[in-house]
Amino acid sequence: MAAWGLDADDLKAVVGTVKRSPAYRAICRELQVRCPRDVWIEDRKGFVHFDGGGAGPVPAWFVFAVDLDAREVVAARRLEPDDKGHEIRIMEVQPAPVPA
Amino acid sequence: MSCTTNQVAAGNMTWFCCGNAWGPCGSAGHGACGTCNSGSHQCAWPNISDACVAITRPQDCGISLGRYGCGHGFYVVNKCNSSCVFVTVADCGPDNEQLLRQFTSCGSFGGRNRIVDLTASAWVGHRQPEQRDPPLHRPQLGGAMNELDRRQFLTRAALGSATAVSATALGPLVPLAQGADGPVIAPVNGLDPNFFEGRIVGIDGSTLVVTSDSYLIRRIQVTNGTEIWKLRDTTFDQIVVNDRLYARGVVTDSGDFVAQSVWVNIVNLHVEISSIRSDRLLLNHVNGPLVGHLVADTVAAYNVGPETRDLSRLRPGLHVQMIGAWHPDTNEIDIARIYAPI
Repeated sequence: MAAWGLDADDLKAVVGTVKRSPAYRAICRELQVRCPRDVWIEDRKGFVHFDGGGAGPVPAWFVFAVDLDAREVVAARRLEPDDKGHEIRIMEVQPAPVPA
Repeated sequence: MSCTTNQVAAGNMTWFCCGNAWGPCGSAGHGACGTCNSGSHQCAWPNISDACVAITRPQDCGISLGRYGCGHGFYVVNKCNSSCVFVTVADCGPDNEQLLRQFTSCGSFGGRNRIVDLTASAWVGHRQPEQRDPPLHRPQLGGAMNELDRRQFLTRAALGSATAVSATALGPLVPLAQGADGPVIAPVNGLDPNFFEGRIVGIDGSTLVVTSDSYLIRRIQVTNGTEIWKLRDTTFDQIVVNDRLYARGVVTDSGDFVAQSVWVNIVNLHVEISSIRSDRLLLNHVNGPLVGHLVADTVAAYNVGPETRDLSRLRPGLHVQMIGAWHPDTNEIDIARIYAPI
């Protein structure tokens, strides 16, 4: 069943690519739920938004960008608010090491 | 007709103000029927007359709604918690320029169009629990403007080179519209700009840092004049991180939200009493068992009577409505008021 207004093929291309990536493996334990909050496509790039920070009160969000032609993750960012809520810090997600 | 029979339509419901001031509502017109009051259990229906349908035009959204004129009675059921309220038609609305085609869901039930507006008191529940109670059955309407802004923000975060951005870069989510009487806050695709809910993730002086589905992060300013409820009227120092917040207030030019009223962890539940202990009630709710703690000022109202601290008429098997405060991340609540139909 498709969701977020995407057909099943697009959804699989975007979310499937993200979930197979080393960057996703690096952050998946920090997610509140493994299901994305949102998935959308813009200019042949797919984006996936996850809610993180499940272990504590401070939230974190993750956004992945997927090149739909190359079927590869081209960006993975972690976003965290500062403790006063004035700014959101944006950090690169470091990919998890590939298992030997 | 009852809460479970003869369903005439299914969709989304929201609330509105009309007539005399009540609770969160100021004074307004008495609606198309001339009888509408926010403090009465009434509703606006999109097809009360030919003139009404010409305005609301539900057919433009592919839905056909039967004609029910002024004074007709409906039982309106909240599919998210099975609560049910009887209302009579008192106005024409909502029209399809507002929220039609929004989709919300709750379990296996999904509604695509906004088909009925309840008056504020009908929205709050079967009785008027307290004038300051917020719209407790507020649907989670995903405003397209918010979704778009959030996506644009995250798209830039993913593909851009910035390492930090202002939290208000998500906005302005609340545009100011210039009205005849000066600037007024305009609703954005159904999201009420004067209402906010979320989880408190930090406290910065007198400002609450709150995260929510619509706004990744937002600062809620609490002033000396802000009314605060957490089980009872209370003070700012009783608010803690991880509390759930509902707030009514105004938005400043900076994007901060200045709260006039804050309700913390408030819940409005329809439950069955399964067991009674000296200090708590064990409850059955549609989403699972709950523990309701009795506190010193827990009161009950029997059969629409006055509130009393006499809880002796409560018994197992009784279906009641409760207003209280959650213990966050648990299945426990502290009970403020119990409404029992006996």
